[in-house]
Amino acid sequence: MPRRILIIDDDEAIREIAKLSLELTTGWDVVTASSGLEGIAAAGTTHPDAILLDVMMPDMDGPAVFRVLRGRLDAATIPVLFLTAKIQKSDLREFKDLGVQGVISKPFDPLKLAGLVALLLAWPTVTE
Amino acid sequence: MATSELRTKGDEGSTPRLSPLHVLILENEPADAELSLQELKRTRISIEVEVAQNRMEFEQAIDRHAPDIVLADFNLPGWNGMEALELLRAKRLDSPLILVTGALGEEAAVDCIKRGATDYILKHNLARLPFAVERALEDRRLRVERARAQASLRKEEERFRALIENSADGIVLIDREGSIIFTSHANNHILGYTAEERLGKNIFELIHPEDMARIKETLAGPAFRPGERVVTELRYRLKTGGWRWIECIANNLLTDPSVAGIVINYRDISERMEAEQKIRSLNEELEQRVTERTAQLEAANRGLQTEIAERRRAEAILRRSQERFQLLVEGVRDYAIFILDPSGSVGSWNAGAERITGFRAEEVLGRQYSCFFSSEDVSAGRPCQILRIAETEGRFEEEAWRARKDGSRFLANVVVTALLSPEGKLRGFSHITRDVTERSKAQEAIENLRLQTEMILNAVGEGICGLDPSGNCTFFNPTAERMTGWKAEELTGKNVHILMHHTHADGSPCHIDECLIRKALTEGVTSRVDDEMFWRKDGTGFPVEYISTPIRNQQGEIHGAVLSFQDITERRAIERLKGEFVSVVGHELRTPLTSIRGALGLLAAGLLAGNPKKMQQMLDIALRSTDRLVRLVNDILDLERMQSGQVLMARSECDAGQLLSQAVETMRMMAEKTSIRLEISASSIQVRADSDRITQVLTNLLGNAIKFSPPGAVVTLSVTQEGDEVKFGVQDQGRGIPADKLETIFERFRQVDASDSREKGGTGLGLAICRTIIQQHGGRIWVESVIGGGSTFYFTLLAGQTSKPEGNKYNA
Repeated sequence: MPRRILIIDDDEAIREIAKLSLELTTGWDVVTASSGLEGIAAAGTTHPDAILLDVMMPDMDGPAVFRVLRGRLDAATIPVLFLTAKIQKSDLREFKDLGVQGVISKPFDPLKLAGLVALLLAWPTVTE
Repeated sequence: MATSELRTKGDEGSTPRLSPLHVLILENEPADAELSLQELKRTRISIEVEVAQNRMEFEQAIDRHAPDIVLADFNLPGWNGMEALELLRAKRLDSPLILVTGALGEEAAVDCIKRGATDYILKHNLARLPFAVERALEDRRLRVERARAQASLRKEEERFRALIENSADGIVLIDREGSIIFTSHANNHILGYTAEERLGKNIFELIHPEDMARIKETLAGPAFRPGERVVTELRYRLKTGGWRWIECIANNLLTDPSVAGIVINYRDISERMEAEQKIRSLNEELEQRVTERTAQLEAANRGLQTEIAERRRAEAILRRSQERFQLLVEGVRDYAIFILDPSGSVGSWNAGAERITGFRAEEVLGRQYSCFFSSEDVSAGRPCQILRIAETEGRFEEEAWRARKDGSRFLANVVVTALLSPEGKLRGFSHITRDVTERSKAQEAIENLRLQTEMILNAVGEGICGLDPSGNCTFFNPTAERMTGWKAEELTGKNVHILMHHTHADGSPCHIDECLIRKALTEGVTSRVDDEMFWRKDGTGFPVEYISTPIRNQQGEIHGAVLSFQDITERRAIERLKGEFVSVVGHELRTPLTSIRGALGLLAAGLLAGNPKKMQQMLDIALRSTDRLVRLVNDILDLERMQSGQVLMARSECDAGQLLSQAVETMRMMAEKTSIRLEISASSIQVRADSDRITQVLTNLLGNAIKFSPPGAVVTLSVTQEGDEVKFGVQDQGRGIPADKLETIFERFRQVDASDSREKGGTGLGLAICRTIIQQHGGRIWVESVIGGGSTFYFTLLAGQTSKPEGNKYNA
């Protein structure tokens, strides 16, 4: 069974590009959600192997979504990577303290996104 | 009963008797009585005889007359002689009773004698009767005499005893070892013991320990021989406690068989001892007083001599001192010292007076001292006034201008003292003057410098605090007072570290050893710190930047420090806001760049070669994002330029209605897309404004109103004049703005909903730009809103010179 990735981002263009990037470079199954709440629901129903989570979102920001996910039985163990344009030193410190598996900065190279995800999650090969 | 008088022949017998011997015969047989009588007559004693035949007669007889002798038959009918004897004794009669009996066994006879019968005579041997009677009588006589002698002895003894007992002196009898054999009653009142308490006790045990050895030696020692007498004094313990002085006279009668002891007479001599003691102490006191008085007299004498010598010496010193003093006064050059008589005439002069005033002695002696005053002071009566004050107060002092001989003025420190005779009469004044013109100038210069320094320190925007070597405050400028709430007078002399620098920002105590302010004092190190806290008087803290610099004297020793500090609360807040802004701007710029980079990246890699639809989608994303990026950059730059004052508002008179029309014209296309109607309610009102910028504001507000209104809604623009102000309004029928966002939406990137900017194509800077433009025009901008009932954005501008108030309605 191919790995499944859930992308949560409020920017439609970025969702589309990220999804396309992963699908074109790997055999992964990619699902998307356009808000924190939608993403939390999707995590419970689609059982992804990892979540790419935007930080600056209206209503519920990335850290809030992460905390909710960690408190849920159906999603507590899913590794989460932040995909964010918020990459000042203080931001990175805050994310590290939060306990996310890794941070990928925006803008990103669409050809290297999958490799970066696999590297951060210590997955053996990209094409798996 | 028969009674007969009998008299013996020999009445003149050896024992002289005045009355005849009374004999009572108890005999129930008259014959036997007669026989006894006959026998009695043979004695040489004159007798009278009475006979009783039975108990009744016997009792009557002895009651009537005590018999000298009783002759009693042993056996009587129902009675016997022994019972008669008992009756006799019961009546306390000691008359001898001789039993006369016919037959009595030897044993019974002995028993009768034992029980008190004097003798017994058998009837067949009556011849023995006279002899028995005589013996009985002799016995009785002896008995009576003995009794009489005993009574007399007893009486004598009682007399002695009474004598002893009633004697005020105590008498005690002891044996050789000191055991008490006898003690008199006086013992009780002298020493407090009863005789029973002391009898058999040793006399020495209650003698005062200090007297014990001496008394033992005296009374029990070998030197006290029989027949000798000693007198001594000793202290004896009282029963009630304490000691009593007694005097003892002891007679050694150990060898006198009638006493066989030592007789001690003693008496209480406490009073005598006290009296003696008193006399002794009085004597001692007297002697002491005499000694003291003598010593006093001697000392007084010596003192007097010393005093006389002292006075002579003092007089000599005084004389020398007066001479020296005169020389001194005359020689003093820094002070004008002279004497005035009560009227104010100059009576003496010295070198200083000449130097300071310019007058020589011969010019001034005898003149009124008013010559040292300015003519104005003289006409105001000042010289007289001063002397009057000095006279009443005793002294006068002032610092004032005086005149020299040449008319020039000098600032004088003047002290005038009244000189009084011992009786209190005014004899004149001493007048001492010092020229303090130079000193005053120097003081003024120092004062000016001090004021100048203080003004500088008071004017600076930094808090400045002076510290002494131990870190206590010596100076605290007004800015420091404002920042800390401490007043300079409260802090002066107190430790600044303890009051203001005691705790770190995290609440942990800041120990004085780690205090960098103190390092300036202890190590001479200048410290610049910007990450610590100072604490106000009210207990609140503020982040501070301070510089602590040591102050060194010319020898390079540290004698204090200067602490200059600034409250950096605002700076911190600004830094934080800047940081946040940079973060937000970065994010806002990176978001469209992400899309552009991603879309172009995918296209360039050729991964979409077989999918023209996706390729087109990526190109669209890249284009849209590029446009957005351009808008964003423009807005940011525009805002920054305006806020930094690089863009000046080109204000001119313009028509508010026309401004609204232009804005409507610009936005018409956008409104038509969602069938929104734009209405203008305005009169021709003149405003002073940069028309391009106000159009930009109106366009922005109108754009927002169109974006957030449902299709077919109406957006109304209005303009009204209120006094000097012209108020513009843009009203929509949108969803409304929550109350807590009414203020913040005018800040950068603070849309009600961040996703709005992307959905509605805004940058999140529009309202911030509007506010900046209106503020640069001196106006205000705000929004009033009802959730679900639409919002109205208002702003004001200053009215122009010529405003036409009539209404006019445009329809767009």
